[in-house]
Amino acid sequence: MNPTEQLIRRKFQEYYLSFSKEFYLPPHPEAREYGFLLFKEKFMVRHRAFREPSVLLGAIRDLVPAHVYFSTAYYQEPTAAMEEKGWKGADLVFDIDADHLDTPCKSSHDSWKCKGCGTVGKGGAPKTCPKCKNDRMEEQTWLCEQCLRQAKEETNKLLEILYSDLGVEPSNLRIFFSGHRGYHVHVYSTKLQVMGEEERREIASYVLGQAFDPQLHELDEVNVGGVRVIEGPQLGQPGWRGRMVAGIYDVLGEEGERLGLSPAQVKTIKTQDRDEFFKRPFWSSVKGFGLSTWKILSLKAVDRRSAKIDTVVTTDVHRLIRLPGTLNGHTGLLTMQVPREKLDEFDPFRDSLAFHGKMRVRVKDSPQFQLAERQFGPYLDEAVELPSYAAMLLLCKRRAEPVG
Amino acid sequence: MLTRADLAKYPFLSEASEYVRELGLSIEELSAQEFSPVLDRAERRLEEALSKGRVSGEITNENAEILSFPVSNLILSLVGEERARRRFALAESKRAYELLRQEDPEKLEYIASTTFMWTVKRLDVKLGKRFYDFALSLPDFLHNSVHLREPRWNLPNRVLDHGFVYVTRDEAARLMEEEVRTKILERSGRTPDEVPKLLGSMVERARGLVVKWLGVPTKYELPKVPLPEAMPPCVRHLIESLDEGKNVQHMGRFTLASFLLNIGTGEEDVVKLFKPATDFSERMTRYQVEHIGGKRGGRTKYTCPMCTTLKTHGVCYKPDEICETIRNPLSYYKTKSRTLTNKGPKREPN
Repeated sequence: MNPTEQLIRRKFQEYYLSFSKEFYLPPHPEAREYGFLLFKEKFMVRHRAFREPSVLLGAIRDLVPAHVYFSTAYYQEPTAAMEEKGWKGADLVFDIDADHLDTPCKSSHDSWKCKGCGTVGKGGAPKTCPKCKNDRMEEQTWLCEQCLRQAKEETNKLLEILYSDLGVEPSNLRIFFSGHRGYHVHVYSTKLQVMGEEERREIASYVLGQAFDPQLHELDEVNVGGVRVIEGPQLGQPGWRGRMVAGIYDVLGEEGERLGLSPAQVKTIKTQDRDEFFKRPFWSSVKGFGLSTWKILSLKAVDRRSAKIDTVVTTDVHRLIRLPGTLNGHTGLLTMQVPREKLDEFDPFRDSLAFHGKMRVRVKDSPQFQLAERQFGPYLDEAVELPSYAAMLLLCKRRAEPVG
Repeated sequence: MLTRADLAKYPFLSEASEYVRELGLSIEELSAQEFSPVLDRAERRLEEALSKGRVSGEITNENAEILSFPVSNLILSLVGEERARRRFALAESKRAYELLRQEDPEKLEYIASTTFMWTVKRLDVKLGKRFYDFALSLPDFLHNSVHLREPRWNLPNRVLDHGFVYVTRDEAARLMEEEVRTKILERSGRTPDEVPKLLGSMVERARGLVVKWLGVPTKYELPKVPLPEAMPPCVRHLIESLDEGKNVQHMGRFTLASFLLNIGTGEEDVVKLFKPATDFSERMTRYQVEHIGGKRGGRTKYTCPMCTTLKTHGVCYKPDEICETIRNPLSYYKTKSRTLTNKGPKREPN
């Protein structure tokens, strides 16, 4: 462990020693596997099991891990080797992470550095260094409000689909802030928990609207008394049908050029009131809009309304996922449950802070950021005294080092 | 709700098994002259399945129809031929589908909820041109739909309403066909403790039928040297992309490496293939290739991902006619190399 890691570990230890609350434990905590990623040599302690939150807390105080995980799966023997655990079922989980979102702000706060020649750049790292062609890059990502706002928006879209289409009861669903760049949604359902990977893949596809075929949703041209008429789904129909129509309404409010429409069609959208379009039957009532145009718009609508989840997490029935109430070693922020009714007002930069007091650190390089409604930075090569939560974020992000 | 005629149509129903049990017949008693239609029908069921892939839905003798089904299953489990079991299950389930699709919704609902334990609701909804009779609970739908490959069975193309998927009467019958198939496969897979004497000759005759219609089981050996012409479009596309120095994502790389290792390509050759990649690092590539091959890490030899996975991750590329018939790129290779080398088992009856 280097001095930065030693300092982070010491602060984590203090936090867990003074921790007096009960851990949130998912249903059937005794049937789950727990894992701890240690600071030392990034070693993973796995296949542990706990019946009591207090024993789990004891283990965390003992090991002081950088990250704490539990399995979404239930096992007969959670401590056995993987093949002998006896899989009984797994929660249906969704992961929404800024890593998978295409936010415009990334170029302003993510950066990379070539491990070969030290060349640096903004945004996501290129495959090879433009200067020395080395392929070993050091990436620095940052958590920003815009990325997390977008992640929250995707979470809201996901929740709507889960409630109205999958019929998930709000009481069987938990939302967690990951402590870094996104949100996790866990669904506890005895009916869904026994589903295998193939079934879960279908659900992931559904949420993403993958391979969506408007024609299979009966958007089609039909012959009515010798006249060719376009018919299709209507607002208020269940599932993707109604959602697709609502999405088309949104899409028509966007810039027509970006939608790939012809100049004449763009003009039609601009000059007509789109609420007029939606007076039924609208599929055939818009001048210059044929079946192919509506298909393109349908796919755009589905893309806007789909929730951008990480398919790998949802389909994996043996996944280890972050335990709420523990610290995220990438940030020093808390992984925590966000009550449904509080999601809109939840501010990760205010509500997930774990450390109090002040710390003095030497900041190498940091963008401006906001925590607890206070502005910090930008900093460049300077020693500063900061509230501990801010100092810990910079230390965990390797943007700062201990002083002295 | 169900008549004896229904049990004759659907001998896989719980009620049909119950009916047979109540008759209290032992296998030996079936040798009596009066039961010869049962044994005849049992053999004919097998022969129809093996020869045509269909079992006729015509019913001349209800009792024989009901009693012959468990006998056919018993014979099959004694024959112990995986190919025959699959073919029989498929043929019987197709027979069931043809009959089920003509039933009224009440009967379908009854069978679905009592024999297959589906959570299903009656519906009376017309959306567009289609009329939906049922709403089937999501897990029950997915349990069966994942075996079906037409795009209309993909969940994003379905109407999903508060945990229930809308299905037409015909679709409900099609999904039940899947249930029947799995149920029969399970049944014929159970091995009985001893071979009843009476069945000895029937089992031998059934073995003969299997050889006659399905050929002698030959274990097809993959060619020793990898055949590039037999590789599926996705794998060929991955190789071309690497050659052109295009970036191939993790799932694509994993697919390529696991595919090539499984068809017997040497690790050296697999590593070489990744050289044109812009981010090529020989050390890392070698480690990962060895990991996939089972020499490192968890020591599991990885197989190639399924086509559905490759579709989800955008690795599937321009699927052709063979792709329609397989579910894994390795099966594509097996099928095509077999035709290319002309070593396939003879399917034609003599």
